[in-house]
Amino acid sequence: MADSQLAQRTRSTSSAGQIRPRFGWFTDRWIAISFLTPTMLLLLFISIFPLVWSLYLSFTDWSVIKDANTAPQWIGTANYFELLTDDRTWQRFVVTGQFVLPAVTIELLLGFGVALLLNRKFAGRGAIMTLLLIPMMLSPIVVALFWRFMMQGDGVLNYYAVNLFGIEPILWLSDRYVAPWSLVIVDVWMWTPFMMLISLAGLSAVPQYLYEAAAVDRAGTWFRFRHITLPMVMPLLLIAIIFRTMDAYKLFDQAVVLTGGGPGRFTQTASMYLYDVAFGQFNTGEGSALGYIMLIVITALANLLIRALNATKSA
Amino acid sequence: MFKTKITKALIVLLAIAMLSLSLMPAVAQDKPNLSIVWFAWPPCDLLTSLVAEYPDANVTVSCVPLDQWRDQIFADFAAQGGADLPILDSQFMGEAVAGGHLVDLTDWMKENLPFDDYNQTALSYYAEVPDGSGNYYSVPVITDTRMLVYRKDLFENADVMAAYNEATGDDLRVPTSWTELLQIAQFFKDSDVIDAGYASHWINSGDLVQTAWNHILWSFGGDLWDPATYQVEGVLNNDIGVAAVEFAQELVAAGPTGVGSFGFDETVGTICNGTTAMIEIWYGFGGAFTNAETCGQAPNLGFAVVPGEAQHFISLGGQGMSISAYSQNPDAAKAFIAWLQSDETQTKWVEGGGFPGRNSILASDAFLNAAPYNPTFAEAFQYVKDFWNIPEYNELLEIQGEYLNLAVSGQMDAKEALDAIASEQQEVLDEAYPDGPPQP
Repeated sequence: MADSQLAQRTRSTSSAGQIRPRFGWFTDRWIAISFLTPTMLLLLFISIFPLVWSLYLSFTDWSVIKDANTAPQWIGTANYFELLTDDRTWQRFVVTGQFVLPAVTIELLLGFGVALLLNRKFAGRGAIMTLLLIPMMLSPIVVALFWRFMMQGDGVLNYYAVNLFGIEPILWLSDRYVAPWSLVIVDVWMWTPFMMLISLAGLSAVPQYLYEAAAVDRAGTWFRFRHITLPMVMPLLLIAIIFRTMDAYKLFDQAVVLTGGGPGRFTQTASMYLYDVAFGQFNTGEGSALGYIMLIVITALANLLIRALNATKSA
Repeated sequence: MFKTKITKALIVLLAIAMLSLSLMPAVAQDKPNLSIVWFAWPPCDLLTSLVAEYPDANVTVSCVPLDQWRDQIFADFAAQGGADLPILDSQFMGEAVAGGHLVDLTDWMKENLPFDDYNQTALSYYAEVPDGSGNYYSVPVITDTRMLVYRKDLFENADVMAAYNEATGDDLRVPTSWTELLQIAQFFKDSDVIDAGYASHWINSGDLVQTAWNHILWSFGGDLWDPATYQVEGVLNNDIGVAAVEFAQELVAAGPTGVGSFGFDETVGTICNGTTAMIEIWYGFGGAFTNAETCGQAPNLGFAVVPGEAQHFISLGGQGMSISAYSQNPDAAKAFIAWLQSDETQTKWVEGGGFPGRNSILASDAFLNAAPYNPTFAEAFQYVKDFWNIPEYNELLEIQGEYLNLAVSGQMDAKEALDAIASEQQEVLDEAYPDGPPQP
């Protein structure tokens, strides 16, 4: 009886005379849409709209500071043309490449090497692994700051260089040929553990029976490494390379703190140059164009690496 | 099923209510809120402690890292918000005024502040845009220039004095010319007394290398540009300019290892830790040299006016406090500035280590006795000179910094560096002013 009375109160009658629940429109789908809408709106305003707006601005001659009260002036591809024909732009990409290539290569070799050493059971393995992972858990700014202190002319690195090895103090941060390698050193110190972690995950997944079968056939260490270990781990290594390359390509915070882009502009990466153009000079149009050029470059690079990854998987 | 739907409806309503509450503006307070933005250095800390005494508003001070100072202010301008009272470097003023981001304070200053008591040089550099226009957009909050900090104990040491005399034939004294300073620096560098002779902030960051070198150029008789014609080529990269860069190369060679990458912290540190005999830096950092807890050599330090050469110029520092065009409380902001510039507050300012913009405060016993370097400040301030404060300042500054840092650290030929600077800066100015410099 109570249920039927309750059911009657919650039903309404449509003009066709059909009885349907009073809150029938309040479906699960409607609720789902209600909860998703704020997030989607946020995504639209924070990600989608700025992307589209900055693309438009890249074709204009507009400064957010100087032209705050005027509409952007359409100038077509002039910003792109100016950037792509400016030696400074290419120099910054060269600096970026000169950082990314050695940094990622050294991190890969070191990380994989350490992973090979750790890929066995021994006393203290857990503690050693934890210690090795600490650098990548630190804030990049903090890392850059204390490396800056260590790399000063009278810092601890030169203390050991002079007193232990008897060599002249090294101008880690002020020599145009050494400063880029200082950036590489700091990045390698910080991100080799990441490569180690990924490599270790790959090595752990190699089936043991493959090694046992190779041992039965009297295969040597190098043969086992080249024909079993490397092919099996390669997909994960490529994933790690993709991640590190994309991360290193957008290096900013460490370089700003460690060298400030100096000496001169010999350690000014493409990201730092973009910051200079967009927020130093507040040349918003040109900065947007540079941002899209960088996006195209990293997208092309990532595509090449992903193709290599797919080829490895299919092999 | 009905209860489930009601529950779901209540959850949605609760979520909407919470979202709305989080977007509601803060409950209005009795006193207006004012915000100030400056860069992090001892005077900003002093200002933070001083504003706590202001009775008519809740004032907060943001002391942002130096590298983000200009970016913070101009990003706020772009967003048409930010601090009510931004403190800008004189070089930023042209750009800020051109964009309409600052309130014109000319009439208000003349009616409400002791206008004639302000150091007119400071007022013109910090506040007047364009030069000579009579339009003022800020009130000097700190005047500043460069000082020479030296190891008084070494300069007064009989053995050191004798060794210097034997090596050079001259008496060891506080240098009165750049040539003499270099000679002293080289003596100390080559001696066993101390590691290095002279240091300054030669790093390419902000305006550090520029302000360390510009007054050498000016004192040698050179200039960065011709402000009447906006001509750089042939003005900067002439023989005097080359000589000034080559002189700086010798100064760097007489400095500690790695001085080419020294910022403010390293420059202060190198004299406080006993590595270097002389440094040259802003008076605003003076508090760092009198604190024996953080500066080991504090009891041994002396302070002097930076020398001249053929002429005598010293780089201008200091900043003015402006009112943002986007401030919600412009009247409260003006009242705060009036309080800050009052005799009583200015006395507290100088007693805390600040440098005043008013001549009467500059000459007061309170200022002269507040710090051991203050008596030299008044003399030093008569030699101040500033560089360009036009809207294109930041582009010109970056060009100069890039090549100058390489040149002074010996990694680029002096003439080649100056030619590159002159060429690129001329390009910027010609593009910005195709019809020549704007008329005042």
